[in-house]
Amino acid sequence: MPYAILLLLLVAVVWMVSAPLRRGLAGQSYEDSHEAAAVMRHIDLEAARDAKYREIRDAELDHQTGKLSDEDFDAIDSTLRAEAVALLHELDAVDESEESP
Amino acid sequence: MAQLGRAILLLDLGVCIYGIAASVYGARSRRRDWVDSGRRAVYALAALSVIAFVLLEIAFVRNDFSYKVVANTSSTTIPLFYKLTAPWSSQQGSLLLWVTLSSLWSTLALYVTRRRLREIAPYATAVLLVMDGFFVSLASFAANPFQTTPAASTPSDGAGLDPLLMHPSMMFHPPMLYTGYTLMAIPFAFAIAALITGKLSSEWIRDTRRFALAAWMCLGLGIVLGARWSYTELGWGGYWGWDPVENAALMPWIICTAFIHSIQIQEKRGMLKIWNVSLVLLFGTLSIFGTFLVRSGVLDSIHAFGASTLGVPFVVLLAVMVLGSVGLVVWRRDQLRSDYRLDSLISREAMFLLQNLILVAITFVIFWVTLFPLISEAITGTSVSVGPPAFTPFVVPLALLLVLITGIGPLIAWRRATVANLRKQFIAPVAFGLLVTILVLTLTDAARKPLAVVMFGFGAFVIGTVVQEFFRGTAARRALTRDAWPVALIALVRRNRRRYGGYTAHLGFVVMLIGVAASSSFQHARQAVLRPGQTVTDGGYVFRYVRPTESVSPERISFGAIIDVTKNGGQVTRLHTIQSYYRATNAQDGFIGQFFDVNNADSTIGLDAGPLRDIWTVAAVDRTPLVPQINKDDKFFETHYNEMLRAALKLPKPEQESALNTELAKTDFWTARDLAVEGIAASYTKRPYPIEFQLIVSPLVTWLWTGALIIFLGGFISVVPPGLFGGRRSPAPERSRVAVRELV
Repeated sequence: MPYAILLLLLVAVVWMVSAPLRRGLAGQSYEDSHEAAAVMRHIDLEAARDAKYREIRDAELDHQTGKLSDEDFDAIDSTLRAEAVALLHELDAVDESEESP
Repeated sequence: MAQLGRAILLLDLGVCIYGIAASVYGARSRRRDWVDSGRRAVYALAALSVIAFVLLEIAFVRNDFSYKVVANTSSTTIPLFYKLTAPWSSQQGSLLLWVTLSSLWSTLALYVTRRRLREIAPYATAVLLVMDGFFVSLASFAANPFQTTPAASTPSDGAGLDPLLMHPSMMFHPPMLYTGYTLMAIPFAFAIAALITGKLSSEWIRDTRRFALAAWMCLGLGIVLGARWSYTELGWGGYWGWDPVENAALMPWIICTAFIHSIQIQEKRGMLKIWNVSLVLLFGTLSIFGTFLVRSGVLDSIHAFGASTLGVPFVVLLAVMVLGSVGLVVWRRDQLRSDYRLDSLISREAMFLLQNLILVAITFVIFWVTLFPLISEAITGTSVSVGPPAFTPFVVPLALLLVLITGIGPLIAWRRATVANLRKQFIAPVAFGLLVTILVLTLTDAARKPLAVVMFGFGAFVIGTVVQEFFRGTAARRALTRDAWPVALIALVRRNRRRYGGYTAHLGFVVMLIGVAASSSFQHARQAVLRPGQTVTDGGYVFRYVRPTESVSPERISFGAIIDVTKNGGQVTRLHTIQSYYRATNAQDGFIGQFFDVNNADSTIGLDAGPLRDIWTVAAVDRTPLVPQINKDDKFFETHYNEMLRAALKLPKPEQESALNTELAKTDFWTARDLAVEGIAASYTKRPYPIEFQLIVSPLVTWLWTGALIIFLGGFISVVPPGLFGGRRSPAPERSRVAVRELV
């Protein structure tokens, strides 16, 4: 009985780890997968955008709770927003390239 | 099934080796199929390890004493709950638990990042599998939980679980510690992978931040559960003894605390890259160092598994981790340079940096003093022991400074601050801190402990800071939305989970430290030997030993004492403390003596916990007055047993055992033995004798546990994914275009 279970487990493990090799992914590299690279870039940009939003929210909250003076807030906020806009434009560009055939 | 367990461990090892090879080959050849296959090896490892662990649990539940580990750490009489926890009370079982947890968390981390960090993830997979493979090798070849004894020498009952480990905390304390340690391997593995690939932006930190936070929470929870176990089970009245193994868990937790603060600076400002990667590598290495201390037996600790042969492999692993980490950081030092510099020394990032330096300094002190006995023995040949007095002169001032920074940090904005703003921020919290300090000095006799008073003052300052932050944040939110206060508060926290989760954790941290300062500085403790009816005074309370109690169960014999506590003539509480003796399996203890084995005993404390003070007591029941009767009865039963045994031995060998059992049953031998045991136990209450009590009145201990709960609430707020509490978001392309209009 233990041998039968072990054999079953062995087959299951081999089947599981070899699935990508059997599934026709063979030979596909990161660079080959243009779509995958675009998706990855999109995910990275989204994360960078979210981080920038967080920074903007933090600065707003610091200002609203009296930690930042109006002048300091204006300077920081405009810098952060410009950075965020650049990220969003980049994100749009990636989206458009994904949509185009 | 033991054979199957052993085979699964070997299969685990094979899977680790394959996964390392597939991942590295896939990364170097940039082949996705091999990378995916390597990642799936981790999934397979997790599945196999869970099966192996379940097999071991089944052996414990079924009392299969052919397993050496079951025979050594379990018995038929221990409750099912403790049979389930017994696997991790042994070196062998805990190694398997480590592999199981580690492979499960690795699976989760690699699944979550399967579509991201494409270049880093394969190397991270390989590093995780190297570490898992190390533990699988130990479990396979050095401390195999599936080792068995031949059927002929399999005992009919096990040696039982150490009574000290029969505590509810034991169900959760070790698994929580292991969860913390094994979760720390994930940021460590991704850091190593980022250094190998040179992909050193903040991406890997962003994707593993939650794992670091979860590791911090679980390890912290494990440490607190251990402290609770120490307080309620070990019978010395303390919760922290600066034991090497306790320190070994505390060090990576402190470094992880530093990391979860300083990564914010890298995420926001692109600064401190070398510092952050070094902190990750340090807490990853310290988590293995902690395991080394527990498993090698190089330092004496109540938490360690005792002397073992596992020290050398761990030293090799630690050497590889340290040298590899340092080498990689030096190799990539140019890419790790900061993108920006500090705008101002009066900024939140500067406070974070200072806080980080203090945390690292505390860790260094703990590391140095913990290892001092080893260093001393290596140099002088003489072993020395270090206790709390060696730690506190360094740790207490640093902790005070840390509390102060915890209060200052949140009051300062990111990037820069002006004097006018600072004044506005500091007035209320500083005033509250001063008010509490003055009240403590005038209303109590705390002035005799100035450092504790400073802690109360600084603690009040931090509480003032946190309350002010919540109040001003909620007020700002209300100004925008006109929501009711509770609605605005919830919305504020939901939108800024990291910030307000952090503030909540700060609140818990100071509540905990106030509890520590009060309970360690103003504790009243005394020992007293009392007869029933006698009283003693401690900390303003009168303790009266009312009467002894006893109870006999198949599992244990318990001797207790009821104590009434009064103050100014009024009843405060009634405490019941118990000392229990668990039946030993050592035949040399005798038929009766095995029920009263001092090496197999534990204490249940009598505790009245309150918000302002704990009244704690334990009785050290001396069984000496019972020993003459125990010895007499032992002799009696041994004589009768030997007579029956001699008669049985005269019969043919196959009939001997059944003849002996028949004779024992016919004479009601075991019933008579049980009655004799009950009689001896009953004599404890019929002829009471003096008992030594330890009595402690300790202020604010409850604050410690409450503070810990608040810390974990804060951690939970920070760690939960945004989707759990947030509303539904618009599709990404639409969102970005809308956002551009809003931003410009």
